[in-house]
Amino acid sequence: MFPSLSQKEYVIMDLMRVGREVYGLELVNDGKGKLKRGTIYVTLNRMIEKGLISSRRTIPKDELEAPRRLYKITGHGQRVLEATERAMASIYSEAKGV
Amino acid sequence: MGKLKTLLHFLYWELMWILEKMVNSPRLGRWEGLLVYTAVVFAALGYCIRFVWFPVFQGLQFLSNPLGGISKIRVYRPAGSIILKTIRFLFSEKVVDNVLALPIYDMRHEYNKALLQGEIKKANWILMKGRFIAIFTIFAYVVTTFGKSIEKIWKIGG
Repeated sequence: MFPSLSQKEYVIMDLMRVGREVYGLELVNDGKGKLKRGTIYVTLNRMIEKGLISSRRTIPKDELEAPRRLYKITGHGQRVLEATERAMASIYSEAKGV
Repeated sequence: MGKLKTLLHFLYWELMWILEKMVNSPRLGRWEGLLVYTAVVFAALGYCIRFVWFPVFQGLQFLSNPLGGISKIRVYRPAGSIILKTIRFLFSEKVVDNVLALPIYDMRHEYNKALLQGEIKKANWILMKGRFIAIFTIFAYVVTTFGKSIEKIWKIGG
């Protein structure tokens, strides 16, 4: 079965598109109100379980730096994102044609 | 001093009058009135303890020891440490490291940043908001996990 993306998952993957590593708070700040702090980590964990993204833990350089977890899109995630976008574009063009 | 005393007396009797009105008001039932009365009394008590008793107590400490409070080194717990301890007790290490501890680490980072800039009010606000977000994350995780388990059981059951 082809994995489907929820709206939040799509926003997260869109922000990770370039292949850069991001942390949760950065995603919330870049999401412009579409992502909430209270649910972001639960959503990210679900996406890891689906295999859409991968994560690694950073080692803090000093006492003030928080031990963050960096997230990155996987190859499978990239393919799912592209396929979802193609499907959305085709639905949009069909709706426009009708 | 006399004026302040008069003002305090006036405020006290004004408050008593409002409370009496609340309790005897036909809009509020007996229990509702009692509830409002209890809430107001507790709020007043809290206010007295925080803004009257604490300063007086600190003043007494200062009288007994002129360096009271200043010479002592205060050790504070890190922000969100109680929540972190609780979740470490309740959930597995993997879940805590991957999901539940992350909002607390974010909060600590922002809190420390605000404290370094000397913005105490902002730091307190971050602390309050961070605790709420951490608890909300735990709630969201529990709800989704519970939903997943129900789905699994449903699938097994056919």
